[in-house]
Amino acid sequence: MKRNIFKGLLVCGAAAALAGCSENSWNEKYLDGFEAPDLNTPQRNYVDYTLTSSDYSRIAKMKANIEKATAAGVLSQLEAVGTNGYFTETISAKDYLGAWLDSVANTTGSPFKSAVTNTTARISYETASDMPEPVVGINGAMTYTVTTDDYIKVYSPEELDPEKADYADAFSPMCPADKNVPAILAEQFPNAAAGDYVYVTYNQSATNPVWGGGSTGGTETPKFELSNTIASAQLGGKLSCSAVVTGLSSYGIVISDNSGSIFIYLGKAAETDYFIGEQIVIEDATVAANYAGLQLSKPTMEIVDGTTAYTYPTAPVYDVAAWNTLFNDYVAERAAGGAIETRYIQINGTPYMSGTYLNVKVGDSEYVMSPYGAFQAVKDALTVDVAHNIKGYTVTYNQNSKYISMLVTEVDGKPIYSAKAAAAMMFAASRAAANVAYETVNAVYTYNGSKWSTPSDVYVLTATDYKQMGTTNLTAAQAKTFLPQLLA
Amino acid sequence: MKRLILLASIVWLACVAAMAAPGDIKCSGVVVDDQGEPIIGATVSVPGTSVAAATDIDGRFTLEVPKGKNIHISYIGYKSRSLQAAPKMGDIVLDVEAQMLKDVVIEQSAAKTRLTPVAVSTVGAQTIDLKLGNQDLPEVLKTTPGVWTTKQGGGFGDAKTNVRGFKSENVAVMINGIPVNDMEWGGVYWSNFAGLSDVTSNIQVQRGLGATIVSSPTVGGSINITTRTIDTEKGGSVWYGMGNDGMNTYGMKVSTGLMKNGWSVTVLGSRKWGDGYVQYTPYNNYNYFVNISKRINENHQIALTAFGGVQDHIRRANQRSGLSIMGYQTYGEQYMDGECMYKYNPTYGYDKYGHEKTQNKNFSHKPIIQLNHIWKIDDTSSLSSALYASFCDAGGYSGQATGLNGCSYSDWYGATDGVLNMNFRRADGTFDYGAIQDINEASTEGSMYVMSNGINQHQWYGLVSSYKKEFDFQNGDVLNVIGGLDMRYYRGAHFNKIVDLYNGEYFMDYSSRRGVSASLNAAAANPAWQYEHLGVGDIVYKNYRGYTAQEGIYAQGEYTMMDNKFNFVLAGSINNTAYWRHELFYADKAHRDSETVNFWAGTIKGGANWNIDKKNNVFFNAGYISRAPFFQGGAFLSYSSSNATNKNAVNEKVVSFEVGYGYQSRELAVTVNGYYTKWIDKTMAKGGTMEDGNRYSINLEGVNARHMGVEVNLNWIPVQWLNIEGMLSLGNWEWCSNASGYFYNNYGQPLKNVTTGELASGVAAADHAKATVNQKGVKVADSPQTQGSVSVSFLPFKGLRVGADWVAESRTYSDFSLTGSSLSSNGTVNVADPWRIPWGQQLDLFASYSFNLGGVKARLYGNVYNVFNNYYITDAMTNTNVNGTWENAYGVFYSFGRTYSIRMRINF
Repeated sequence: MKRNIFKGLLVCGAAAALAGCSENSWNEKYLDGFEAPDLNTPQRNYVDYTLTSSDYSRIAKMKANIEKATAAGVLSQLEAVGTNGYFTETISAKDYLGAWLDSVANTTGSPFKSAVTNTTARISYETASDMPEPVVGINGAMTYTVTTDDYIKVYSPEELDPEKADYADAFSPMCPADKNVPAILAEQFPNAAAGDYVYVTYNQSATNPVWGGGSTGGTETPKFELSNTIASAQLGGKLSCSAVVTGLSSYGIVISDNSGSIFIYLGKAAETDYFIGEQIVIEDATVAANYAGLQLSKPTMEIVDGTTAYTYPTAPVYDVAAWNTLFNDYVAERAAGGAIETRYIQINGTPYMSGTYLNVKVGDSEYVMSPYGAFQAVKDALTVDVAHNIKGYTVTYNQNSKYISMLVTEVDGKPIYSAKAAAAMMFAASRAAANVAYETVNAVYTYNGSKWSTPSDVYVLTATDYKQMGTTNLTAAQAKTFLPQLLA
Repeated sequence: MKRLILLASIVWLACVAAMAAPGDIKCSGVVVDDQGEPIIGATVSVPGTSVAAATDIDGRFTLEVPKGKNIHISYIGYKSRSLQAAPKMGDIVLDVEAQMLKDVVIEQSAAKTRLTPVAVSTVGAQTIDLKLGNQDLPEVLKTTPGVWTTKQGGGFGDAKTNVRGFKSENVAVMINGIPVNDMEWGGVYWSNFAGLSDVTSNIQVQRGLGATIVSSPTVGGSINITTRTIDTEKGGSVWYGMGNDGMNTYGMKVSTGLMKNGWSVTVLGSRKWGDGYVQYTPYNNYNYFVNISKRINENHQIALTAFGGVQDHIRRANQRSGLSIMGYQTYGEQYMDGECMYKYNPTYGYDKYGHEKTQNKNFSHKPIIQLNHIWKIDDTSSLSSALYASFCDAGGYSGQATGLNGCSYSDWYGATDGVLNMNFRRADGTFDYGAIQDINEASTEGSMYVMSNGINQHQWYGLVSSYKKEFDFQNGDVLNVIGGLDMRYYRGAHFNKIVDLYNGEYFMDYSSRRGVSASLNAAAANPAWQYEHLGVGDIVYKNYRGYTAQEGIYAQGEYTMMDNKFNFVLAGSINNTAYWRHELFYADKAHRDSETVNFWAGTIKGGANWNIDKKNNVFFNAGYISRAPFFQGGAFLSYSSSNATNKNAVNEKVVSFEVGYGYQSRELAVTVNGYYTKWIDKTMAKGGTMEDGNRYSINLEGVNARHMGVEVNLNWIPVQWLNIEGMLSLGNWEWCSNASGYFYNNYGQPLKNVTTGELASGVAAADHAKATVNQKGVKVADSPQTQGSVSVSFLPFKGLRVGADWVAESRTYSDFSLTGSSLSSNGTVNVADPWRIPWGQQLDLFASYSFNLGGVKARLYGNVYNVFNNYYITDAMTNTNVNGTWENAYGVFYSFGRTYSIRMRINF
């Protein structure tokens, strides 16, 4: 009897265990109105988000916003929003946020991915109100950097042949900035209106230049010739080369010689650390790889004064098939322990925002292009939802996130960075530029309807001021801390 | 009639003969002391064989004894007896062993059936072995009335235990009479004691006032864990177990038993590891237990016990990782790829190199060392002392953010208020730690986000010493008097250290340092200090030391009269708790030390038990407890960042009374009790951040709650092979007052404006910012106010036990959270009705089979939990500003689905 009862219980237990409940059995039974949704149905009807500095920049570059601001004659103020990171009464969030919201709403990783009809996006942003007139004006200020031609006109106004003019690449006591900049601005901005502001950058020397007899005793510019070695770089081997900088990123640079190009990983690089055309000599650097992308990692580099003009090779067009093949080649090389060289290629793609990241969709390929270590200049050149032709160097790839990194050098035929003009270490036969020590100065000028002058209620921080504050940069948060102390 | 009786006897004998092995005797009886009271846990064995059993809560045992063999009965403190085995042994009386010494420190905290006037439930070692399986230790109490245990986020050792609706910080947990609640906030991290199940003799839950009178008075109840010490039998065991999601466990225990030279050594080591039920919650746990005891002579006995566990596990953070109900339906369903959606862990992910990453790693090692000394002064008096120490090294990951460029530490969260955090979310639902690395690499201001370890290193030392004197008036009346002292000292170090820069070059702790006042920390006078470049190993966010010193005395008188017919108990204690702290982050050396705040507290409680006859008894108890406010959220306004003390801190008070009735016969035991507890001035201090980065805080006063209810417990053995247990608990718990408080800044100055930091004209002045919380009538959350269970245990044949527990809960209300920011200046928070979570139930199966294996006794255990795979909600939160519904609930956690474990133990 007991065994039969026991056996019966075993059968019941087995049946019960096999029966079981589904994951929603309890929900459907006890939660009034519960229905297991389709996977795309979101579960909240509002989403919170706070704009970042990158978002403001993106908003200022949206095609729809540019058109709107241009039509309203406030384009410069829209640009200021991107720089300053806050809206204004003229460029309000109400008017200019919509385009950005549309562009990010349905992207992968978007914070608004779950939005449906009647979803409310609660967006936090910065806005400035009741700003003083100079602040409004400065926010919309144009910018101008005094050029070598300007300095030539200042020092040798009578010389008709600029190649023979005596000049210096800086203002000096004999040619002070405040006496000459207004005239320069008058020429550059003939249509200025009263109340316009310009942010002027120029060089200022404390000593007067001295001309005559060529250079002041400096050494000869050493001869520099491009090598033919980069193309032969092998993973694990050594590379010596003489090359020029042909690509810039925040992680490093690309250098090229007559045979090919290679990425130099520096960890961190500022936009002005190197320039296009700068001459680099490397000896016996070990060739490494970053996820199957060939590179040199923080090699010892000798910078040779001067520049070398470089003609970029023809960049082969990578269509979707070639792009996909490249990705698969990266995967295969990585698996085999190999690496792919830095290639100069071009693609046609459409940028989009992935959360806070700017990526480029290449046709219908499942692999996207990620601008590698892109400075603001690259982001400015790429407009979301607008097709672009993009040239640049392949660097590496990411298998999980399915992208190939490219160091962008040109968008729609326009180089991101221009090659720097030859330095002034030349002998006679060319124009005589006197060497003077100088510092770069920033100033603000305003137009009163008849002439340009420096406004009395605007102060521009100098290098000495930064040094005194003990910092080299001022974010909005840091400004609140450091400026009161400086002003005190 | 006689023929019928004879026929029945013959049939019965035949059945017994049929069930038993040929020649075996099915022997049963009840072991009692010289007072007739049952002895729980006495060992009944057959010498020369591996046959043995322990007496249950009623002193009963059943044993298959080979024909011709005797049985041997032993229990610590009593003289052993050897008797010839017979089918019905009846009551077997053990006399007190004059040479065995009773540890008053341990015993005083334990309640005795039909003697101590408290509501008590006990789970013995056999039940723990049978039912624990791969659960956390407190889950073995799920069939105890008034006790509610949930797994919360589901990580190893992350279970929480409430008693009568009171959260864990209001439930005293004692191990061998020593309180182990955290000295700063009162809670218990069960992961520290995960291995205790292997050495536990029994777990006793006393609901309400409890029997203990050491200076850790309970509010909701106490959980007393007693480990085996000198009473351990000689021999040992090895075991190996496995279960769902990669669970493995093995261990070994060896004991010399009490040797002739008076020494006894017991050593245990075990390991448990697995992948975890919830997505990416692996765990690894090593446990050890050592007990060395020595009976020095007839009057002195000393024992050294050390136990602890080294563990690390990945958690699923509680409130922040619990999605809303539709959140699981959307994201859990989408991302779990066919696995149970409720296992989804929003903080599981990878970095840019494909390595698995987490932000919820937790580790700890908290050994407890205890030195017990018993001095039997004479036949009627003894002195028991326990000197103990604990050294904790624990911590857990805590994501930090620089606070610049809008980067916030909350960006690390997997979810906030039930909404999945999409800032760092890959298409496959994993957390994108690689994106954080990219941000940090691209940043020109160092890492925007880093991972830190929140370290908790503490040491505590204590002494509990009890003197007991018995007065026997030789007329059936006995008076037992206990007096003692209880001293404790605690020092805790709390700080966060960077462990991972996530590919950045350095980290600026701007978000924390901007809130540091230069008047407290001279370093803050240099604005560059906010932007100091920090690296791995550097301190961020917080750094303070908390100190507690507690001294108390206690006394208890227990008068038993008319041969145990009446038992009266009166107990009281007085204690002083001193708190102070050293602030090392927000203050420099000159401002490091806080003032020392002292709180006098005490208890007075009493009760009586009347044994009406051999089967019926009634009891009542009543008491008043005054408890010092906690260090955290009580004595200090912002305990992690400021030395400012809470000038309005007052002791918490508890008023309680309870009545109960018990019926006990050989087959049936029933207890019914009703209780009423009023909790007054619950500690509640909250904080927030002002716009200049400085902190503010508010102490809410007048937070009172009322807990009352009825509990029924039943144990029925209708036939020898069937045991039925049941319990029902009906409670009515709610907040019974509104609370209000004033706002203060870091210096303890009254605030007029919480946003700007403008000061008020004075404390409680008309312009002193104030907030009110209207929560009167709101149901107490987080525990079911109706609970029930039915357990059936069946012995189909020799060696096999199978059974099932069915547990059900209802009237659980969602919890709400009051934060500093939700209490606005001069504002009122009207706490809306919480959501009443629909009832949930599950069926657990258990089985054990003992058999001989090569001359040693082996036992196989199997457990299946939640057999029907019923997913029901165990935890949820709702906001205060709107009535709670399932649609707006968040922080939701479901029960585990069907899980299992199997284990084999070999005794030698």
